[in-house]
Amino acid sequence: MTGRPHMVLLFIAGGILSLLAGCTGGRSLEAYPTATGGDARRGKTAIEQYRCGACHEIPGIPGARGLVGPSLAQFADRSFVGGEVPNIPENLVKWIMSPQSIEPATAMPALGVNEQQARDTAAYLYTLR
Amino acid sequence: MKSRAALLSTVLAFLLLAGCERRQDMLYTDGPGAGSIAWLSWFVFILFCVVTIVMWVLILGGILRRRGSFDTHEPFDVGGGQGWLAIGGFAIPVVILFVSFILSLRGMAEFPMHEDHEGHNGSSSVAPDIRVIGHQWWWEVQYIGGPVDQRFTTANEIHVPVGRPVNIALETADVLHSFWVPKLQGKVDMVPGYVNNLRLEAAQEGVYRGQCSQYCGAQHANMAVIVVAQQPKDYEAWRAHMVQPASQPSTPQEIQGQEVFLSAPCANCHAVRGTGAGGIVAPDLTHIASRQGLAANMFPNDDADLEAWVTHAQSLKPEVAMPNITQFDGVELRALVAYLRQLK
Repeated sequence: MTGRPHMVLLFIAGGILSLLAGCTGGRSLEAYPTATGGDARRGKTAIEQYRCGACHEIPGIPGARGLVGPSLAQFADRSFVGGEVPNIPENLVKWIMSPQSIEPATAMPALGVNEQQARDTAAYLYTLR
Repeated sequence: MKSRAALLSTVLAFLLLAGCERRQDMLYTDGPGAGSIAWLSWFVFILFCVVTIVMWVLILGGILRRRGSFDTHEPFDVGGGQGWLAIGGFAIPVVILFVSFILSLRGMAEFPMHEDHEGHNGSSSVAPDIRVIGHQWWWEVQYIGGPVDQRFTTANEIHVPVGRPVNIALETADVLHSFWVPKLQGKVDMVPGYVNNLRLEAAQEGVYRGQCSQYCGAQHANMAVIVVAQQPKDYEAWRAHMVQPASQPSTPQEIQGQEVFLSAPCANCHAVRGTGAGGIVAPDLTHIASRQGLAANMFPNDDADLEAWVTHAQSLKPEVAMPNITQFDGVELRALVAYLRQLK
């Protein structure tokens, strides 16, 4: 019987810890200002709107587990965009808007993303480390 | 403390319910069929509450009405209580059950009884306007009312005119499915080798979602159908368009896409009316670009999802009949999608 209160405390502590486990530990979308000229939170919305996750695995986007194109996990640390050009913001923005302008035979479609949306999307992708 | 916790959890449960999307709500309905079922549900629920309260009051009264004392028990009145039994145990239940029975029958009148839609059951047989055939895991929709040249086949999306009852024959091509659009009408099973009938009517314009509600395999949960209720003139315009053969590709990319489509395995299973593609085991693609969803409304119908679906259906909807088709290069794939996207 004496063990009961301890068990209760243990449960409460465990509950709080599991809640904390859901926190991103300060790794918020604003934590990585980049030179994209975009807003990562709006980028997340744009990524969901244009359904990038149908083809790509994208951390932080619900249901984005596509296997058609490459995973975008740790995208900020990748060396190349489209296997063609250096992974710098201007190239990424160009790639998102018109992949064919960099790699004419790519399967990735141009989805009619405007420049601001492309910058926002790039801003989000550069939070993926 | 215990009762407070119970109260709190009940309130929380209701708050959660309040957050539910109303697209498939069977209590907030938009059609006479579902409306009469919802009415009956509320009636039975309230009746249940009233009967329960009366019973608990009687039990409480029986407990509190002390006869004799702890020292001297009064003898049991073995002969008494016949009146309670006759009225409370027989007469009232008979009345309640009889009223419920009549009201249930009234509700059942919303469902036409099983009739052979070929008309073998005599003059009472109603010719269906639409035949919906369940497949693992999509819905084939055949508009079979009217003259032969006004008939067509589509998939996963049923259009109906507002305020007009539509008779639907329900069949299955494989296992048991169940057709249920909760805001419009009750649930009717699709049974192998058997035709069931359903009369559907939408009172308001809108897009109503339904889901297969009889477990039918791995992707049962992703087998959705939508009913689009339109004003009669919009509905007639939609029908007139659906009867038309597929639109012809116009840009060089779309023309290349059609060549890709016809030379790839697509046409073995899918039909595009007006081309050589005549497969009937998969959804008709003649007007695929006009539909709202892909893969039985599992995904929105857009460039990204269509491209992903064509090349990698198995990861998006595992075990679906559609294979991963990986024979295209990037240019061919984009052309194919451009072709399909202009099949409005």
